[in-house]
Amino acid sequence: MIKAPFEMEKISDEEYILNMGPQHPSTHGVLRIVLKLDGEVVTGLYPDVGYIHSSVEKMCENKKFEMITPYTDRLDYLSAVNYNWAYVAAVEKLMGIQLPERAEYMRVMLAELNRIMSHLLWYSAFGMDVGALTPIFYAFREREEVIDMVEGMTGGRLTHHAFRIGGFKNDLQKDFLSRLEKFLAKFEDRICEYEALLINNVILTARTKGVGILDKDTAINYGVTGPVLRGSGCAIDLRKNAPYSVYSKFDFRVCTGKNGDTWDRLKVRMDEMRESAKILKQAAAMLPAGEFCAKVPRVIKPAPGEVYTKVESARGEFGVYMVSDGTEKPYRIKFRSPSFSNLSVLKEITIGSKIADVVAIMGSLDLVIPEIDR
Amino acid sequence: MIKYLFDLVKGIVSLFEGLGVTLKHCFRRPITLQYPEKRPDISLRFRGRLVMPVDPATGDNRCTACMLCVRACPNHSIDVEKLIGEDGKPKPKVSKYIYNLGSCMFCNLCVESCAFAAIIMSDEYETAVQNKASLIMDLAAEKYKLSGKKAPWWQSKFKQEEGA
Ligand code: SF4
Ligand code: SF4
Repeated sequence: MIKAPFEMEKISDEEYILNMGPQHPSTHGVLRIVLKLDGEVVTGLYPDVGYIHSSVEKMCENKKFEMITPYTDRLDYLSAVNYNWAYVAAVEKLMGIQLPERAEYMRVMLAELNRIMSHLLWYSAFGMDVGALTPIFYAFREREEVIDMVEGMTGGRLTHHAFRIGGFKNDLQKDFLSRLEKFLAKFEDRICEYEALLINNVILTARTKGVGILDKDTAINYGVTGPVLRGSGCAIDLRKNAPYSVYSKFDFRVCTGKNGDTWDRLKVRMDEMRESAKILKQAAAMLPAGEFCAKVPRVIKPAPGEVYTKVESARGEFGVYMVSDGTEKPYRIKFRSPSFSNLSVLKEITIGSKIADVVAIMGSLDLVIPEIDR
Repeated sequence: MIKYLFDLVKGIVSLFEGLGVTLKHCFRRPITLQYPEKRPDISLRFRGRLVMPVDPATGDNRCTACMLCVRACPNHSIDVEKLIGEDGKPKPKVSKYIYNLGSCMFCNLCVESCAFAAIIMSDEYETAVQNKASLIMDLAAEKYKLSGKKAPWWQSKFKQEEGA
């Protein structure tokens, strides 16, 4: 067990050390946080990661290119499609595969559905973290619908393995669009419900406003991305700033917060679901007919070279750096995972706050542990 | 003072807003399913555990022991043994199809690679077992009978491949 830096030194009589995790309900996985406390106030914090390190990157070096896609699902089991996307896009870029238009739109739709799925789970989990039990039942009702939709399309509920190199294996199922339409028709109202239920609740606002303030500069210095960065008022969204796929064709807003406190991060995610619904509506209307998979050679052997692709996942920028040496297996794969950088900022924003706030702040960062440990 | 009162009223209003949402749900129909008695409707493409269904036309499985699925599986969950005929020569038939449910990650790559549509991911999702040894199964010996809506789908898939 690694010791936190302050565990080595002598701490004063007033202070004590508390372990949060590895098995703690609010860490949403196996993450250990060592806290140095003075009474109730946090004076030191050290996240100890690596409990479920699975060396995915090394494993991928021993797999053929087409076999790696299901592994990227497991990095973040809550928005798996985005992680597939960065990986398959890397291979496609290296091989110069041009996707058919329909495949691009299908990818956008699945990715946005995944973002909604992930944010809904975050919403319910955050409610649980701060002691509200009702939101999970409400959010899971809608989440179930989304999952059913994606499951009907891909076959998997969480680890979809939806994308293949070059496009898809299956077309959208016949009733996908009608189900999507039905879902989107009521989803807007449901988000308002969620907000009335939790986000605008006076107790929650009192607990989260002004807590865990992350200013813009710190966020950028730590490489924080995604809703956490946007909550600090920095309008950076890869879908807008470095549009990949067909995202440049959609009309949507990059949601930002003002103060960078916990509440802003919550609000950004709620707004993002609205924007996702907007993108979905447009994508469903614009979805062209035609092929859903490009012509891909039977044996996938990209030319030697290196490539970096990135997508905006539900948690932030997910990047894949890949080196190919011209064989069937990649020479090296490196994943740049958003939760890892988002976690690193936790110390900055927690020191000085109460121990109960640590849970709320950590919940607002929306960490997924397998992706941190990889 | 005024601000305090204002905040108080606002707070109470926000509480009632939340309560209003929950109250509304008293009049909505429940969406929960009484699970073990009632089963959810599983979608056609759902990936449960791997099975090797018996083809009703021949009464045997369609595997030719070509090893394509073994090579496609990312984590070596499948092992195929060829049938050795009486003359000592290997036949295009499978004698043992060892499938490790414990390490399978339900990625569907094996099914996609099979040129004979001999295997399919069933709609079985209750795959818990009592001991680890029963996770490793012989699919060829199992003689699985595909039922439900996957059966006609599988039949049509396999006809397509044969007809075209
Ligand atoms: S299941 Fe299919 S791919 Fe696997 S050995 Fe049999 S025929 Fe070949
Ligand atoms: S589903 Fe994937 S992991 Fe499971 S046996 Fe088939 S190829 Fe292997």
